Amino acid sequence: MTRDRRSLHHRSIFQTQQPAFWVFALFLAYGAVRVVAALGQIASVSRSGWALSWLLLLVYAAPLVVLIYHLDLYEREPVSVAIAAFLWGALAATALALDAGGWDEVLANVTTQGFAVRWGPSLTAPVIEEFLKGAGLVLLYLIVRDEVDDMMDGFVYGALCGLGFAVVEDVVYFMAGFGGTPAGVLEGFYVRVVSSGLYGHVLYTGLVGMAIGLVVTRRDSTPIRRRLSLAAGIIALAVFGHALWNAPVLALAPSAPVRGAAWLLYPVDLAIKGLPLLLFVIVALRLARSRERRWLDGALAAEVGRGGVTSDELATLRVPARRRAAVRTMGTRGGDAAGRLLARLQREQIDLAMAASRVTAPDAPELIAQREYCISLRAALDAMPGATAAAQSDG
Amino acid sequence: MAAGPDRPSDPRRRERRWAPVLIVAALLVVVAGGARSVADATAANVGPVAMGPVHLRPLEGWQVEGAVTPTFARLHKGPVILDVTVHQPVAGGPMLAAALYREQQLESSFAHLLPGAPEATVTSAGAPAAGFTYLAETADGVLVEGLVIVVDTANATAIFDARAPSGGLTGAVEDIRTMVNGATI
Repeated sequence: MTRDRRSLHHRSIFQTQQPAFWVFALFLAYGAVRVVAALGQIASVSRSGWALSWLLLLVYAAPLVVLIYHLDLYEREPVSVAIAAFLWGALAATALALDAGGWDEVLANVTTQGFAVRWGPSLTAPVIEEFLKGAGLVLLYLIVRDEVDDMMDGFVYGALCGLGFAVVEDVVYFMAGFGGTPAGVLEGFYVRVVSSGLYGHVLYTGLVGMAIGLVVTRRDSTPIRRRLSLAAGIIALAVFGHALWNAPVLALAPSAPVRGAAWLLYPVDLAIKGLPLLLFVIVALRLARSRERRWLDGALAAEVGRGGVTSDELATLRVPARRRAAVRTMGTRGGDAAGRLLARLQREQIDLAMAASRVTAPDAPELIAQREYCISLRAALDAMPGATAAAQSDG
Repeated sequence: MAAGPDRPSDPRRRERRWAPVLIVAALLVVVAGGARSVADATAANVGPVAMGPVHLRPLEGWQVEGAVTPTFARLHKGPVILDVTVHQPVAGGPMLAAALYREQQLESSFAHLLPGAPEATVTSAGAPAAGFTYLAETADGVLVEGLVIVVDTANATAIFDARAPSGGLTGAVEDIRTMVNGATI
């Protein structure tokens, strides 16, 4: 592997030469100590409720992690960076949010105690918590600048950070707010996760991450001033969505004790507050995907004919479903090794697009190195028995 | 995403990498750590509170809300409320007083109440006491966690009822215990 090609490979979070890494690690270590101590205290309420809380949240979070991680059509973020984003939300942001609880007192001191109890969760928590989570995303960017370079990357890291925050917060609510007994935990799980699992921190911090991705992107020629104002608008929307969620308005939730069909009011109540933002995020993600596709077309158009990618390969590459189908067909007809090799060629062609979008000359050394690597992979694939026939049938 | 091309290293550029990191770190410390300082700075100082034979010295950050009568005072610190009620001594001692308070006061104040089991204890001054925690839901759906401590002496029975929206009481428990132990009853 040449030096130029090596530089294209995806980075891990352990960039020890970066000051941001050590600051990130320091806050994470503080958060781990603080959160473990706080969670340890409430664990004594009920061991069975405690275990059930984690089990239920694992069942909820695991598929969501997979879903978020696969949102980016053209690349998978480095696993260590994705885990770091999750841990920042679960440990550092949660611990710092506990420390920042004094802002509720400030609100009570400058208004009235009744006002603070009623409106504090919607006035202080959204601003403080989105800042604390977003600051972690900025540190992540400062550690691995090359891994956060568009809105979709920002959304993936932001949503994972928000999910980490939500998981720890939910455990606290199950144990402290819903009594901590297995029955209370199940009730909490229904109200906070089943009825509202797709809204909440995942969306808010995903939007904050999107805004960061928009500001730091190197694929967009829009003037930075315009991108900054758009990013500020996106962050304001995330904070507003969070504030609306916490606000004592539009509340249709039934009063305790809840019986029978009244349980169905929870999803209706929460959808009124959460669904509009969810729909907005879905639209934003679709736009971000279109933007990625346009970027891929633009970056690889000039490479067609130079050997790194053919026009047929580009047509396949730009549609993830078609890409996966091509790998499956190759695996069926040419064997598993051929399927894996095609998948690798596709990944390297995405990297070729990255290299092409960062240099101005088509004969830049790193671009040539990556192009030649793609050519060599294709040659190796062509040499495998059955691979050529599979490629032709797929094309 | 993938790394960009190698560039010649620029010492000035390397130095500048510290600036955004320090700014983010400083903001995190100010937002998270500064909350306590600002809260204490904006809180009014409160002198001792007298309710008949009971004298209570509020700790820093606690404020009196409304009028103080010989039988009742309400203090708050942010979202944490501490109601102090003073009665004649109860013949059955602090455990009975705690049970009566739960039945007569708490059960009628909340839409839903989940009290913990009461435990007998003594204050640092040696006065017999009893305490229990509770979870509750207000009529408008706010989840609340609470701590009741009843102190019984020959002069009076003082009931300290601290509560806060769910998750908000933990940080104030030490303050409450200190004020209860420091109260003259």
